Amino acid sequence: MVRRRYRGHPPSNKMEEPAKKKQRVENGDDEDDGITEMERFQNSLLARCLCNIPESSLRKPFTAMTVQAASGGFRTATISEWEPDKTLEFISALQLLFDLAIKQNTRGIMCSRVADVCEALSRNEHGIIDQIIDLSCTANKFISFTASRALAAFFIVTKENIEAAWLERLTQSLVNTHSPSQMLFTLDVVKRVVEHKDCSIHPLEESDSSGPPPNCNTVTISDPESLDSTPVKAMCVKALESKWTLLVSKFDAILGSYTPQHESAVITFLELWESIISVKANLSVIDTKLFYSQLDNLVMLLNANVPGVIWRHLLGLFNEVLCYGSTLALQDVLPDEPCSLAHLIVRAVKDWRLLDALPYRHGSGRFGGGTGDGDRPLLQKVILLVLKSVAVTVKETRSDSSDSSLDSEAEDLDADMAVIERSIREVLRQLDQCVKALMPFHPETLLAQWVVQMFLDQDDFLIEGMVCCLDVAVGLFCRGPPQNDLGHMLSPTLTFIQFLTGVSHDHDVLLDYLVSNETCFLLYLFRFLKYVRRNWTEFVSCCGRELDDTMTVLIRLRLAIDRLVSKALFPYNIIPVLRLLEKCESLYEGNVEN
Amino acid sequence: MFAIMPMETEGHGREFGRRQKMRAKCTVEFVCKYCQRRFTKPYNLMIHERSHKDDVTFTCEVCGKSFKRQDNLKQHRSIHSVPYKGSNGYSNGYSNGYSRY
Repeated sequence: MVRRRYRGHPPSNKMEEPAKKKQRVENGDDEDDGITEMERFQNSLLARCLCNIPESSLRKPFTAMTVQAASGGFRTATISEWEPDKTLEFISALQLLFDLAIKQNTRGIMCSRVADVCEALSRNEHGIIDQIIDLSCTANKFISFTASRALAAFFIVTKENIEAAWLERLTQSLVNTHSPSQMLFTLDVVKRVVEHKDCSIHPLEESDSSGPPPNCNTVTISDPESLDSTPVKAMCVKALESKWTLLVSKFDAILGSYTPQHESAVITFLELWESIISVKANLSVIDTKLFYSQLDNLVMLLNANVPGVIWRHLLGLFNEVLCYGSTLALQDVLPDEPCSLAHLIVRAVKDWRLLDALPYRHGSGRFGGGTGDGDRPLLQKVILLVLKSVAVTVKETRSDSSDSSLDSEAEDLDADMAVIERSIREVLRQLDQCVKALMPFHPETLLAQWVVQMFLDQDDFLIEGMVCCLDVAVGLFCRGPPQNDLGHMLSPTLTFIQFLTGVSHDHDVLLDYLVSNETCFLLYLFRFLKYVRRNWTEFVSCCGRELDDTMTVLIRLRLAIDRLVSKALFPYNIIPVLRLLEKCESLYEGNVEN
Repeated sequence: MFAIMPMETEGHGREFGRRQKMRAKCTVEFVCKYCQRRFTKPYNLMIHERSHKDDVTFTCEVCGKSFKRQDNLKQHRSIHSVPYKGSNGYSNGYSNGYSRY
C-alpha cells in the first residue's frame, strides 16, 4: 500500500534509476472546492501571477510525495515514481512557470513570486532539477519529451547560474548510454537551449499579455544582460565540447550500422550539430571551432544504406558548414575546415559518383520512390551543397594566390586554376546530368538557367545558388574568357534574366529581398552589378532582346531605393549598390544613345 | 561506401585545391561582434552581420499580422473588408517604419 503526503524535505540528490514501483494517487486528497493544488497553481500561472497563492500552498506542488519503504517507514518519492499523469501534470506546470518567467524577464518586469519560485528551483530546493534529469531514464516517451522541454526552459531562465554538475550529468549520460531515448533527452535539452531566441515576443501578442496583472507585487529587471541567453548557450556547448569527439565517433558507429530505432536520436544529434554552427545561433566561432571538424567520415556515410531522412539532415549540416552566402563568400581568407569539406564533396561527386547514391533515384517514376516530383527538397539540398563546394574550392584557390607578387606565383595560380577548372567542369557536368535525369528540364537548358527554376520555391537556396554560380564564373574566368562551354553554362547574365522572369520582372520583389535578411540578395546584387559594370559589352550581347526589360527593372529598383533612402527608411547602408545601379544605368543610356 | 582516396592531382604533386596557404597580410581587420569572424572590408562585415540579426518583417496595419515579404503582406491585405488605401509609396507597408522582432 502506498500512502501519500507532502513533505518539505528535499529528496536525495543521488542519481537513481527510476523505481518501477507505481503508486496509487488518491483523487481529491488535496482538493478544495473541487480544485487541486496543482490546478490552482496552473490557473495562477495562466493569470501571470502567483501572489494570491499562500506560501504553504505554493510549496506543495514542489514538495515531493512520500512512499512507504520496504522497511515500513516513509521515504520521499521521486518524480519518476509518480503516476505518469501526475508526473506530466507537474512537469507541464513547471514548463508553464518557466515560459512565463522567460516572457516576463524579457519584458523586464516579473511577478516577484514567479521570480522567487524560479530562484528556489535554481538552488535545487527539493532536488527537483536532479529528479527531472533522472527522468531521462524513463521509458515513457511523453514524460521524456515534457521533461526535456521543461529542463531546457529552466536553463534559459536560470542562465549562467545553472550548475555545471547538471550539464556534466546530462552529457556524460549521453556518452554512456545505449538507450536511444536517453540520448534523445540530453540532445533535445541542449538543442532547445542553443536554438532559443531572445526577445521572441510574437507581434500578435498583446503588449500586456505576458506581463503581471495590475495588483501583482512585481520586481523590475534592470540588468539588460539578464535578457541575454548567450552565456547559458555557451555553457551548454562547452559541456558538450569535452565529450564531442567521443560523441561523433559514437554516432558515426550508429550511422555505420543504422537501424530505425536510432532515427530520432540521430536526427536530433545532426540538428543540434547544425544549430551549434549555424550563423543564426550567434555563437563565437572560436568557441565552436571543434564542431567544424570530424565531418569527413560523415561524407563517407552518404550512401545508399542511409535512408533519405538522414541524408536530408547530413546535407543540412554540410550546407551550414559551408555558410557561403552569409560568411565564406565575404572572407578573404577561408578557414581550413569548410575548405576541406568542400574538397571532399567535390571529390565525392567527381570520383565516387555521390549523386548516383542519392536516395529515391531508382524508385518507381525514377525519382521520388513513388509519387509526384519525388523528394525535390532533397535534390535542392544536394544541388546547393555541390554549388557551394565548387564555389569554396574556386575561391580558396584564388584567395591563396591573391597576394602573389612574383610571376612564378601567378603562373602557379594559372596552372592551379586550369586543374581546378577541369575538375569543376566534370563536377558540374555530373550535376547537370543528375538534375536533367530527375527533373523535366529540356536537355539543352543550361545550369545557369535551371538553377533558378530548380530553386524558385526556396528563395534562400535560390539566391545562394546564384551567388555560387556568379562567384565560380568570375573566379574561373578572371584571366580571360573560357576556352570551352563552361562559360556559357555558368553565364551570370543568363541566370539574372531567368531570375527576373521568375519574379515576373517585379522590382518590388527585388526590393523585398534587399530589405529582408532572409537571403543573401544584397551580396548577390552587389556582385552581379560589379560584374555587369566590368563586362558591359558581354552583358548587352548576352541580354539581346531582354536588355530593355532587364534594365527597366534595375532602373525602377534604383528609383525605389532612392525614395526610401531620401526618407531615411532603408534599414542599412545601401549606397554602394545605389552607385553601381547608377553606373549601369549610365552605361545603358550611353548604349541607347549609340 | 566510398573508399578514402589520395588527394592527388594530375601531374601537380600537391593536394587538389590545397595550395600552401599564403595568408593575406591585412593591416585592418573587421571583426563580427556576434561570432568573431574576421573580414577585411567593412561592407563585407556589414553584409555578414545582417545574417545574425532577427528578421525584418512587414506588419499589417489593420490586424498586426507580420510577413517576411512585402508582396505577401500586399496579398494579405485583400482579406480585410476595407480595402487598403496607401497615401504614398513603400512606407505604407510598414508599421512604424521597419519593425524588427
